[in-house]
Amino acid sequence: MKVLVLGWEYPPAVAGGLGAACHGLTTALADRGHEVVLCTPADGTPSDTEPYPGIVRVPLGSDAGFSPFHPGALLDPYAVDPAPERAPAAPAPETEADPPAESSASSHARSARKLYGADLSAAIQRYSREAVTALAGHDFDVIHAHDWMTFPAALRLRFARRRPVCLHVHSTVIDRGGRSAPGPVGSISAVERAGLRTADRVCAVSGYTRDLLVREYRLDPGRVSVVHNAAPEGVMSPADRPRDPAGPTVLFVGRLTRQKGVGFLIRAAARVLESSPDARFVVMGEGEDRTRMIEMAAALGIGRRVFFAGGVSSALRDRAYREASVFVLSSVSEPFGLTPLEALRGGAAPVLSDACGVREVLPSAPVSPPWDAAGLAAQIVALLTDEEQRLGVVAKCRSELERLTWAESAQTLEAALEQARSTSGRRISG
Amino acid sequence: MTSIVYYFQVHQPYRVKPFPYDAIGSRTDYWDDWLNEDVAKRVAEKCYLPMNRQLLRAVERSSGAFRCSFSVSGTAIRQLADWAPEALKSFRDLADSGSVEFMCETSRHSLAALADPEEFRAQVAEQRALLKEHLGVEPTAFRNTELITDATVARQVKDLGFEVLLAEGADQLLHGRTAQALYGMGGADSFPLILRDFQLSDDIGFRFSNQGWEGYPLLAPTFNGWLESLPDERPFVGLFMDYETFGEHQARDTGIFDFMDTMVDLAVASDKLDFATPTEIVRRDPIVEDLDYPRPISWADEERDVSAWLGNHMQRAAHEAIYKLGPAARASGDPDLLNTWRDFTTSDHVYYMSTKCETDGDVHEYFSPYDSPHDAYLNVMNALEDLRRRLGAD
Repeated sequence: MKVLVLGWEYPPAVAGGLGAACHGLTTALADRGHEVVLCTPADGTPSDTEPYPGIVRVPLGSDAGFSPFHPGALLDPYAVDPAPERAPAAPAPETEADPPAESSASSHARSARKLYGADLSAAIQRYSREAVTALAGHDFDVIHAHDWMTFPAALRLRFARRRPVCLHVHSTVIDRGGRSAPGPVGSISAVERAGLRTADRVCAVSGYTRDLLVREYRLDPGRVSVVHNAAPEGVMSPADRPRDPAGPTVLFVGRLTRQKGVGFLIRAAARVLESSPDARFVVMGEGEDRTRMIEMAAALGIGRRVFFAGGVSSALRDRAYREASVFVLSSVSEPFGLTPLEALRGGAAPVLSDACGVREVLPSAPVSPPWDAAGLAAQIVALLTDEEQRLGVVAKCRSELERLTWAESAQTLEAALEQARSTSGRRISG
Repeated sequence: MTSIVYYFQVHQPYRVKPFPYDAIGSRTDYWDDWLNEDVAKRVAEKCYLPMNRQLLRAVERSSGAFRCSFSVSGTAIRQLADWAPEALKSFRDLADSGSVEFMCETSRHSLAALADPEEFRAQVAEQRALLKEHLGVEPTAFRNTELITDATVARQVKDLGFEVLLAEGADQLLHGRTAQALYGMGGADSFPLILRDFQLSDDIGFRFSNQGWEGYPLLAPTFNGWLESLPDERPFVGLFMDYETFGEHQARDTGIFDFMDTMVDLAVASDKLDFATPTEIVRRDPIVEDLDYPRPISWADEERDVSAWLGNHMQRAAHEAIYKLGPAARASGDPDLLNTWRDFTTSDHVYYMSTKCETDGDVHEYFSPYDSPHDAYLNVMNALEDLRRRLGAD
């Protein structure tokens, strides 16, 4: 198959999980022998810095580069604080061999500002406008588009080139705390809704997201394929934890936004500390809820046991995974959730929100509704107080994680793309 | 005849260096020595040295008629001894002049009087030793950190053998009575209180260079005119302020030095004004009546209570975390660890965590080395966690 991939994030321009997923799926498609044309936003850097066999890269939206701003972009929950990222103070002078060049935290923040900056709407329009002209010389059988930023371009090409479209949903505006459909015309939910209902096939990152699309956008469940993400690569670290005199660590990693439910974790932490007073809670990440969360921990009287590490380098984050006993994903709505898989690599046992996609691939992980402080606390305490149980959870989840590969996901995706092609006769009017 | 009671507060904290989460367990250098030295030297240069020189000349010129009082926090004494010894020497010269009273306080400018009576006694003893060693004085008057006062504080001060306590002449305390009289502390055997006249004190300390103020520009004859027009029966007026007012909060080019010089000369020449120190007042004047403190009252912010330090959850959490380590620090037998912990009791650390907005927020921000109160809080909590582990405390 000749596949046209429309992506927004792509390494090295990565702000969140979307970039890793797009990269993993696209390279796996190429590995399976498909010819891929990959379009990502032109950001002024050469697009073929990392040539990959079978993938031709076409930058889109180069007519004016990225420049701020459109008021509509304020709707976007990815939009990053325009202030320079809150530096985690001065880097500790003797932090060991962290690549000093640039921490992944700050490179993420920079990418996020570029990809989801103040000018998001205009950038999307440029990307879409250029799609038809820039791709005039390229041939393809099917269009695979990642998340709503690329949906307008996909629909234009579908009409202009008479090719079927498979839209891939990694995250919806509803997960991020946006309004339920139908939103006003031009809103993100309207873009998602219109795109998904027009598409020849839809891929969802999880059954959780598929159900959400069916519920919120009234999609026919038979048109939606579930394509799970693969586990991030890396070596497994030993899962057993030598007894830390400073107490066991419960870790959170993510943006400090409403979606991620940090407040629920902090409320649960107060309960955990009643029975496990030496536990420490480490919150890694930045976001608009930062000050509120800091004040909440202080108000609950657990300020001494909750640490806010801010945005950190990937080396520090990996170290935290290796040191933590428990990793909590407390999201209110998480389409997939990559961090528990990263944490498992480090040897931390996951406790998952019941509203996430990743629990479908980690059936052995303990689950709790995030708002149920008592339930969430009980799951955390069980793992903190019984090392054998904790190691058992890690071992079972790790074997589940091993089955998650991009090659596996690409096989499902391939079937979805085929289905898009086979239905297109019906759906695209001549 | 009304006596002018000048009291100048001299204080510098040991500010905490950025201490991110990952520094816990791997770094023990909590203090921003570079910044602390820089500030100490700058303030010594712009304020302490020139103003001490000017006040000493005023004492000499007036043959001792000009009198004033100081309290120099122990942390400030140690910083000056390390980084600006000539400024410390100039304070000693003032003490030696016989016209300048040096009062006692807690050695770390702490909130120990409220939080930890045992620690309070220890810090007062430490401050007495520092005053003896560096300034050659044995204090008889006391002022608690930022004038924080209530009956509990007064009782502790009385038990330690002091004769008088300085306090804020807050409206909520006086209910229309004058601040210009000697009061006693109700519930503490009428322990004598000398109150600050915040109106006249802030005319110099805060408003002097405020061009939007109707009294701007304030000239010495005007100010002394206000003092001279006070009713005759007022025995004294308490003018208490940060010493850094002179040359630091109010820059030299505002004319603050000349104002003080002229003001002192005019007062010395006036037949309605003279100068006195707190101990002189308490030994001379009778107590007019007792005051009842509903809660601790300070000289800070509009509220004049302890909300500048303990007003929000972060401040209370940090305050609690600091004093929780006290028993372990004192029992550690390690003088370095104890000294380090004591420097965390300095009230400035929680002051930087204030989230008050509007006018007082500006004042907090002016003094704070941090980007935000939340950063100040996290920084101190991280450093305290490191110290907690070194102390082996819970």
